Amino acid sequence: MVGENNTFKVSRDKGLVTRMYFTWFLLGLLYAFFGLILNAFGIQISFIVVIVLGMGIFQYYMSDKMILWSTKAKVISRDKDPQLFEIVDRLAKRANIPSPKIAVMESSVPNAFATGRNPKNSLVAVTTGIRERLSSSELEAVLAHELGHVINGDMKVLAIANFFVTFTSFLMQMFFWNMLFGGIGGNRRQNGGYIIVIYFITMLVYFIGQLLVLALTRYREYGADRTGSYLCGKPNDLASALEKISGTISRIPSQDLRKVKTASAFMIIPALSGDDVAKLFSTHPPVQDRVRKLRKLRQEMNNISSNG
Amino acid sequence: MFFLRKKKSHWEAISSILQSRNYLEENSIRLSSRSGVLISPSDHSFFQDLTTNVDKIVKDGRTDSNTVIEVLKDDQETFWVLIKDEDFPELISTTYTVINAVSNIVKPDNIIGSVFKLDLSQSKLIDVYGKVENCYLIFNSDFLGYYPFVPSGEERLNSLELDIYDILSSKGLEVLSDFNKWYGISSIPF
Repeated sequence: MVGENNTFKVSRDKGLVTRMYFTWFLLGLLYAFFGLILNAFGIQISFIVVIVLGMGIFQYYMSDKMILWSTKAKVISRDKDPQLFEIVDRLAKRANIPSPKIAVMESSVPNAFATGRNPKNSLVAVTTGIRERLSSSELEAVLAHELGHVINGDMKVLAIANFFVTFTSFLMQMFFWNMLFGGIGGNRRQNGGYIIVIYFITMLVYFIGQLLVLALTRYREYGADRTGSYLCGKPNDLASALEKISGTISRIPSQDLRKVKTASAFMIIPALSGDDVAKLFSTHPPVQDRVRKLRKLRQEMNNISSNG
Repeated sequence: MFFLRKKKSHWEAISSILQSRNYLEENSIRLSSRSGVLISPSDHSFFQDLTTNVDKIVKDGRTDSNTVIEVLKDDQETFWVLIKDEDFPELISTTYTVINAVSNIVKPDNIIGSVFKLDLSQSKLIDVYGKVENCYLIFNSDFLGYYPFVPSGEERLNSLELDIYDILSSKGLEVLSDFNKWYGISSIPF
């Protein structure tokens, strides 16, 4: 939806926003309790907080360069792909943010990502595979989704969330080495008993914290889908691009049921499918769920425009 | 979240469409009054006079039935038991009766699939995909689930199938969520 002053407005998904805040609340609660436990055991953590904070700030400021380095993506100039620049410029203008840098990765795997600590320092990267497979309107929808991450400030949100998990991971390692070679602030004999207890509590906090951060990243994906759909006005194209990228359509077989029937193996449907567990550990929500939400969003947007 | 799933019976799975019918109609997806059960033949004596045998099973003990049964053999040497009934619950019940009878008398493996026709002419999906000639729901008796099938010449409209799946899966219909098992059926005779 493009509003006045060339800015666009996103109608908020109240359910999604509630779930996001609730996850933050749980994360805060978890670490508040954890802090109290550490305090009760008299464990000094300030130096670890400083180290992890330093790492987090470095990562936050250098994220675009680090990702370019790790993915071997190359920032391109306008003359290399004028169409890509034209789409990104148009979307950025509509969102009232500066045009991000554009990078391309030489990979047949269709994918795209956005990074950067704020809109001014953002970067959008696409693979050569995605350029080949998607139509221009699908590509626009995918780029709008990536800009959605930039507009929603997801880098900042996830950097904060990851800080907690990295902090716990550091503590876990510290307690592990202390169990082997000596206690904290005292000798091994004195601290040996409780260090095992605190080590397992830290492991548990790390595990729960990781699940909460993963849930948060999945919510941010839904959020970027929504923002991107409003930005380009094409939730249907984003749905179709997701289906193409994820290979959902290519999973539908082309053979005739008559021919495969005799060869088909009869499976017992498990009471707890692997999918349910896999969902909890995934950084992205299932494509089918995203597509379903996007189809609903299309109807919602149609209703908004038909009601003026 | 984790939860235990009780495996549904064959009847529960196939008849789930009765509960979903209203929702489908709210989305302007109509179920037609026809279905077809695709059966692979064998040496079993049941196939020697399939028409009479099926008719006998369907009409057994029923005097007021308006169900019309037709049996035909297609160009791939498989049999179609075509069922027509304006009473939709009766159509589902008869389709199940045929599947059940063939499974018990011959073998469950002889049932290839059951097909129901959908009418999308009033649906909003047409705005996106244009006119759709034929659209079907296939019921897989091995995995006890429905899935959409939209042939378009030699191809399939997979995007439309996924759109229909989204509608189907949101209201209690037993759907086959594993897309790898969405095999098509060529030359459906209705």
